[in-house]
Parts: sequence; structure tokens; C-alpha cells
Amino acid sequence: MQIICNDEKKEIRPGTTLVAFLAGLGVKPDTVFVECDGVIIKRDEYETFVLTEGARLELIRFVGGG
Amino acid sequence: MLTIAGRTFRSRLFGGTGKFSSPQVMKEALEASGCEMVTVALRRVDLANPEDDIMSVLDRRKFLFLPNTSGARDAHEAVRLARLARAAGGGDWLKLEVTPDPRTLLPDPVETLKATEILVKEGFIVLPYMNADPVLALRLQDAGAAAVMPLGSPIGTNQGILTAFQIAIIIEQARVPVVVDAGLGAPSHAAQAMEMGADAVLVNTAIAVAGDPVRMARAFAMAVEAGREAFEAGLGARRAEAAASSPQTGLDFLR
Repeated sequence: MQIICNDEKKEIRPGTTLVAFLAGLGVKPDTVFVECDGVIIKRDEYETFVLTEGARLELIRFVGGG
Repeated sequence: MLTIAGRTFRSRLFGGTGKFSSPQVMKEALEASGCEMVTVALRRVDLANPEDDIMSVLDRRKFLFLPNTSGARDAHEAVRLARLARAAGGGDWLKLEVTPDPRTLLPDPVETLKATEILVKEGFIVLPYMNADPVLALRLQDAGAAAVMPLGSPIGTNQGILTAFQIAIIIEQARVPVVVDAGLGAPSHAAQAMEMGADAVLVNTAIAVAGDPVRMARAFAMAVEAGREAFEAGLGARRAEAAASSPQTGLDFLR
């Protein structure tokens, strides 16, 4: 099935949790925060949050800035 | 000591975290600067470089993060960024930045005021980046800004304080701390701001792009301290005409 992550289409297996998806991308979960369909997912829910068909994820983090 | 929104700071130098050549250089420079508050930006993760997490090198017990809303072009975008920053664990502190024109990066005063009103109501500690406009500074204070951050010159230009006349009025009228932000390109610029009575300065580019950022950070720290010391000591008045430092009497033997 497909989801959208940062405007990119991604194929995932049904039942994939957020933490597994992040691991697949090579993203350390504690360095990002995640919006799913406009709602911010709490860090302690990453392990149990199951991605659904067509979900729109935004992965955001703090970067250098002035 | 400097107090903003009930929090005290030993250092009157705030640092930016952008434009450093590496996370390690940034960390060393910020530690050398002695600053206790650093600005950070909020961006999408680059999926091509997912490990590019430069912020993890900074110890958040040493540095208070001041998330900015850079990239926001209006109040709506700034408010959205602010809420995201808070949700991301950025805390309540916020450098509000609304810059619609990427060429000048000058702040939009109307949208900045609008966003300040909204964010203060939501419990943010708002430090708005603003043009050096004394009337706007008062309006922002009235709206609940915890400090005001007038620009010396446009972001990243290293041109120093081109707005001295207006900043002097802002400082004179201020009921909240005044942090001169943007354009400070040399330690002397920072010292000038502090001598004028600014409560603090924020420096990013000048340190980050210096030949040796760690030494430049130290130089800025010394300049900020020197400028503050001079302000507190009380500068002598400027005069239009010369006033001899040596006695003008006792010269009879020459004539």
C-alpha cells in the first residue's frame, strides 16, 4: 500500500508502524517529529502507531538557523 | 543580569546555529561564545540525508532553544510554524520572524504584530524580529512581546548598525529587553549596540562564516561584555568642538 511522506510516495506493507517506517528511512525517531494528516503524533506513540493507506506524513526537525 | 520573561541570562550574547561548516564547529563556537540561548529553525527532514541531524550535538541543558519562524511569509505561516515548534519540544520560547521578501528578508510589521497577538494569547514567549521602528516596538510590547529584536541591518549582510537613530529611541522607550538582531558583522558592531544600551545582541552569520568561528565567537563575547561594561560605566558626552585633555595653563614659559 502507499503513503505520502514529505510529498514523496512510499510503498509500505500493511501494518507498518511509524517507528518501523522511520527505521526503514534511516531516520532516528528521537531526532524528528511527525505530523500524520495534520496531527502531531506523540513520541511515545511511534511504536504503536500503524500507518494507513493514503496517510500523509510530514517529518520535521530542528535545523541550524539564525 | 539580563532577565527575559522571568528567566535570567548571564551572557548578553545570543547565538544562531545556521551556516556553520559542521555541527562540531558550531558546538565549539557556541560553547566558546558563552551564550545560553540559541536560535534554531524548523524544516522538513531531507529524505536523501536522513541522518543530517545537527542539533543533536547541542546539550539542551546548556542552551535554551529559541525556535524561529524563518521562512514564514505571513502571520498564518508563522503561527503554524510556532505551534509545530512547540509540539516538537521546542518549548514556549519563540523568535517570531515574518519575512515575505527573500531578497531583503525585511520583516513584515503588520503580519508580525498580528502573529504576536495570536501567539502571546497561546502562551508563547514571543521575541519578534522587527525593523528598527520605535512605534512598532511599542505596539509589540503592548501586544505582550517578551522582548523586541530590532535589526541593525538586513539578515546576513554583516553591515553593522545602520539603524542607530531608531534603535536609540527603541531602547529609550522600551519596557521589555531590546535585543539587536541581524546584520552585526563584527565585534565592534556588537559593542556599539551594547554601548547604546541594548540588553543583548543576537549573532549568527558573522561567527558562522568567520575564518575561525571559535575565535570569532570569543571575540564577540568579549565585545558584548566590553560594550555592556561601558554602558553601565556611563560614556562621556559627545561634543562638536575639541576639549583639551591637557591643561591649557602653565604654558607661559613657551611664549
